[in-house]
Amino acid sequence: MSESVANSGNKVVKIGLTGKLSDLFWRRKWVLLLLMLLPPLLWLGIIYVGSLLALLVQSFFSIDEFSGLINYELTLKTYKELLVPANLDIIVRTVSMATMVTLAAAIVAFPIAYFAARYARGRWKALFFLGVMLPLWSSYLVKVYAWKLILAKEGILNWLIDKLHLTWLLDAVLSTPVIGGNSLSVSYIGTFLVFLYVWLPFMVLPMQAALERVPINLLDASADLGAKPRQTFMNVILPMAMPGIIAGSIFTFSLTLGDYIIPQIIGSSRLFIGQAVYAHQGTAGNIPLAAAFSVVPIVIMGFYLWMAQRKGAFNAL
Amino acid sequence: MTTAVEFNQVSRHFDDVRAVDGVDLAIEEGEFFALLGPSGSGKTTCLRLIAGFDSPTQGEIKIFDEPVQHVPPYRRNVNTVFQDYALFPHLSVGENVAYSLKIRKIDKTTRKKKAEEALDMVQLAGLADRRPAQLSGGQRQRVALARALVGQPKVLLLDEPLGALDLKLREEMQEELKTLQRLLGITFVFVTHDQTEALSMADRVAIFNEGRLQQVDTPENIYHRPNDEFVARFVGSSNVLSSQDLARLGIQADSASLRPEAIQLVTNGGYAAQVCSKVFLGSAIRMQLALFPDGKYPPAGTSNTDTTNNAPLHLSALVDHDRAQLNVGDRVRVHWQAHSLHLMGAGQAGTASNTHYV
Repeated sequence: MSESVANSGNKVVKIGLTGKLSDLFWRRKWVLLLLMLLPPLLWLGIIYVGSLLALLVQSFFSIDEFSGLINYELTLKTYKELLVPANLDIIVRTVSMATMVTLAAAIVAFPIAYFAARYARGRWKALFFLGVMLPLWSSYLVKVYAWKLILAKEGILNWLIDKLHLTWLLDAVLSTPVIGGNSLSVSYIGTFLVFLYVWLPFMVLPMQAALERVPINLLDASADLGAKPRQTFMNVILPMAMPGIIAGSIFTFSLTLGDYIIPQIIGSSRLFIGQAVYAHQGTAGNIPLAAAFSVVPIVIMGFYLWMAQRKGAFNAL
Repeated sequence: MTTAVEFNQVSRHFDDVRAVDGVDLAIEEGEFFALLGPSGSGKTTCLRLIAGFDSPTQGEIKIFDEPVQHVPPYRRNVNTVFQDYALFPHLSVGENVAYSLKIRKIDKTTRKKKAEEALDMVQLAGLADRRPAQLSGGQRQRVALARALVGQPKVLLLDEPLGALDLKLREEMQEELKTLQRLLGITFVFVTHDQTEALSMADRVAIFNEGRLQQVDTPENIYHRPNDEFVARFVGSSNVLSSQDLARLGIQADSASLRPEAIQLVTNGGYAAQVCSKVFLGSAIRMQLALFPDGKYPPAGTSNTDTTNNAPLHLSALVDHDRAQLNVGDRVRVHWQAHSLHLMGAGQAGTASNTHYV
């Protein structure tokens, strides 16, 4: 026994560079951790936070109305400009659209997510993921243009509605002020439908993940304690799915707030925040106003998350 | 006495698995009743059938004389303590306990008061504002108990309630559950695979095996007068003797059960035996004995496991510490009281429902 210990003790083991490195990583675990985290931290720090700060700073500059040059003095003048009726309209329009899209997405996504989380197994689960993710694999522009064709006056949807003799219903809906229009493809309803379609996967997936984590015996326990299915839904399923719903709504809400392509292709010509940013930083050359417009979604999202947290939406996490 | 829960020829089949198969059972009001059996024996399915999480494929279940096959769990006056407690993670301890009261739309002050009383009853006063995740396993167990009891159910179901606790805590909770049950007078039905737990806590025990009921009786009868080989082997440890074994001892019977602690080592009389192995258990010593019914020891040097006529009977015995000096190979004499050899019919598995309690 003691002989073998002595033997291995006397043996000179050569340790190469990689060996030394792994020894170092083993002794000082933070070194490896730091090495792994450094690239993403630099990326986030410089590219992401940096550009965000640059944006924020830009929004406090203003533009000289005569020369069109940027005046590099810190001022709130640009923000005041956001409150001009025309600009305020854009904000209200975009926020309303984002709210409607988010609510609708939550309602449409829930049954899908619930089915996938509770009942789908094996092949069905694979089919679910495929079905939800498939739209994400094709080009966003192609999808939007496809929708334009579907929703157009000469499109397949109108044809179907005509065949079902429901044209009167569509006309009635389209004659609604504000949300209506000449056809679905040039109305807010059309914009809404396409937003809903395009962002739906971003609601379904986090919701499904949250529902998956609700153990079935909690539902049994709730029923056992006298809760009817509706009460179990309100008191157990919904609060436990809330973190997922919030996560999904962050996607659908902020993506809608910032999008400038869908409202440009489908809908009335009235601007959304994204389009305003696009126009101001591009042709108009008004970078400060574009930056101020961009800050609006950030502030709204921050406020939204703060409220959600205060209401206990993350209690189940 | 009223019958709290009644099973009439209840079966629950999952495809071709007979989880519960033709069970007849009557649990009296105020009884502490144990469903005991190995895993997969159907005891938990029976509990779920009473709670209403599952419906029988055949037969009738009555709770206080009301047939409940088509009554959903939320309309049954029965509450459950789940094996893994199933506490709501998004609610505080107090809110968990008050859940059934909230569902019944009882006002907030009463709710709070009742929840506090219930927590007090399980000795968790003052923890109402914690989250379940902040509690220890034993505390969660008590919260689950308080939550199930706060609505004053007529029957409380407990699914392996102590399974996840360590030994010391488990013994403590056994006492407490027993006291609580006596205090509240509620019918307790609990599922366990731990026979010591069932014997020490229950007024009556139902033994399940492969979906069938083997025996329903008091712990004393289950232990001393098992119906069949399965019960004898499953509850406690037992030396089960076959009819051939018994014939060699001059007894005519299908089979018999002899508890290890009933075997005495004596100086005179009894049967000749030899110590085969010896294990120190703490409270006693377990010895494997080779018994020679004809009284002849095999010649020294021969194996005592030969299969000739002279083959010994192997018995397990619990021996006091004063016999600790005995060593493997020592010759002893073995004796037991005639009444401790409990005679059983052979393979009574199919006739277990005859023991239906009336």
